[in-house]
Amino acid sequence: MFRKILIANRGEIAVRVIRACKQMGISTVAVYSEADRNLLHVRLADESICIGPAPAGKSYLNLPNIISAALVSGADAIHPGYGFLAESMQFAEICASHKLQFIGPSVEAIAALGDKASARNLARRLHVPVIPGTSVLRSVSEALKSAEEIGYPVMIKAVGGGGGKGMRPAFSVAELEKNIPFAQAEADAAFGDDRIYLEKLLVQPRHIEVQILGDSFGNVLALGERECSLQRHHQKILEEAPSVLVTPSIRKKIQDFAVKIAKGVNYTGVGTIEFLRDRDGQFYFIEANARIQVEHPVTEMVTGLDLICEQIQVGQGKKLSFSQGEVEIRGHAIECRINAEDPETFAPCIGVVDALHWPGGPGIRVDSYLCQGDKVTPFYDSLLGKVIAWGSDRKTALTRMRVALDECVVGGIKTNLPLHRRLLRHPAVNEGNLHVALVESLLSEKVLI
Amino acid sequence: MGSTNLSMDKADNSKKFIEEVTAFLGVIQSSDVTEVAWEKGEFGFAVSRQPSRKTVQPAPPTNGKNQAQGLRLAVVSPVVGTFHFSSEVQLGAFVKANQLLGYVNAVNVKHQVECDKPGKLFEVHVEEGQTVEFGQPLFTLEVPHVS
Repeated sequence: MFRKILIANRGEIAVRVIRACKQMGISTVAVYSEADRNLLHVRLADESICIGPAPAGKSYLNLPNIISAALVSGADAIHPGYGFLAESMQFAEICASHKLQFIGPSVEAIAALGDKASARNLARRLHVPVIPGTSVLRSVSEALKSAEEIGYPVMIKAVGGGGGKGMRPAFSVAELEKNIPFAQAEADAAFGDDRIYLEKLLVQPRHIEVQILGDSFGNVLALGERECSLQRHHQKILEEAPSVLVTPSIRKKIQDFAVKIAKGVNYTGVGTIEFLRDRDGQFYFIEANARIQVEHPVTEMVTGLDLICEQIQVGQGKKLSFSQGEVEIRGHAIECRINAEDPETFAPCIGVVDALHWPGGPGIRVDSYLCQGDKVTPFYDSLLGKVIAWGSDRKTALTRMRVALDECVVGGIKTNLPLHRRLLRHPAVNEGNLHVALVESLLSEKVLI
Repeated sequence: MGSTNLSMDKADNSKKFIEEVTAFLGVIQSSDVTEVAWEKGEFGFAVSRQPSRKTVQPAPPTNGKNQAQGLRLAVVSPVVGTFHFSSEVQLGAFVKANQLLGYVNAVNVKHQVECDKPGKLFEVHVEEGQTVEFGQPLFTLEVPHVS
């Protein structure tokens, strides 16, 4: 049993993990940068340690200071949250070498799934459909030849990537030749790895992902799917569970795929296996994320599970306490990510939040770190919080979300609340006719602004 | 893409080691570590350098005692760890620029704590072996006004 956990993160996920630890009777250590000194996660934790100045590279990515903070505070485990060091093999290795339990999968699993090209190869070996594509490309001529075989359009993707970074489409030979250097440069800047590969670009696919949970006894469960098709620049803005087009038989099929991939790397902890569904209904594996995801609350709301608590239990070496047959999906949940950004230009916004009111009522949950008077700084991502609405069916969840967001007030800075309010009233969203390019196409038609 | 080569072959162990060392040195360079040694299998290296100058900050407010007669500056911890005094440190003593005041032990690496200006050791805010965080004031120096 862990006595004390250090949370190597900030913002809403740090608050989320601290709350779970408190419910489990585990002491908590928050780490913070000088810019985050007054944030909620620092106040909620039992102890807190300043680990560096504002820039993430000198604070939340500062391995020596984070490890030192864990050692001096007597923590016996570290929860990495998402982003930052959550999928860092180096961090997981260093934790192990200092006898600190990294609450996440093994180094080997992170390695196998973090490299996108090797994850695709794993899926292929396990007969899980993957989008037609290549392994790591060694030359431009190889890229051009492969694109001819796959068929245009193609997507250039970063081997070390995720989160939509380092991705560039190419609809022709000329575009491919032009975009390869850009994709490499973006990948190198984002991940320190300029290796790329190609995949066939599906037209208007839907993003469906499966939540998995594994223990160290070889058990892996699938906890239902999420639809995350509403994205802008490959960043998710609204997620829901379940997906309107996933029937019980489809759910079984994609869950079987997900569990197969997870078992293929002896996966422990929480993770997500992501698929794209094309217009013909074919599902293709795209990537696996070896961490808790931002949108995990929608799964929690429809299953009744606490994924962070389950993650910590598994991290303590405990066996999963329930079986696949006991996982039930009940009702429908939607999550809206509220970001500090200009609703028209999408430029990140900074400033002091001089008024704040989060919604409430039946079926409404808010996961946020934000308090009135907080200063939103330019050093980190723009996520202020997540509003989650649950209902007995999708229509009820949508109605509750519209009412909740109409009530929501974040003053002093611009947010994407207006975008969400219009999105939730658009017929395509209400009818469930979603695809990954929908938000961009509505924006280009000036429908959402 | 230059001559059409897209990426390095990471199966080469020595190339991989060089890449890992380069990344490791990048991490060290952005910190205040002055000495480090590293071994992995048959490879290894040791690095030492002159310690970086510490940023001085306005000193924390005192409780009215020990009123300073000059500019008060704080010497702060550069990392998270446990603090240990240099044997030469004495309250009220005059210290030279770059004099070693102590070190912070973080993950078995000693990070030296120095003052980058000469002055009188006006206050000590830390005890031997105390856990300190980044930016925590350790000493207040009284630096004479220059007229």
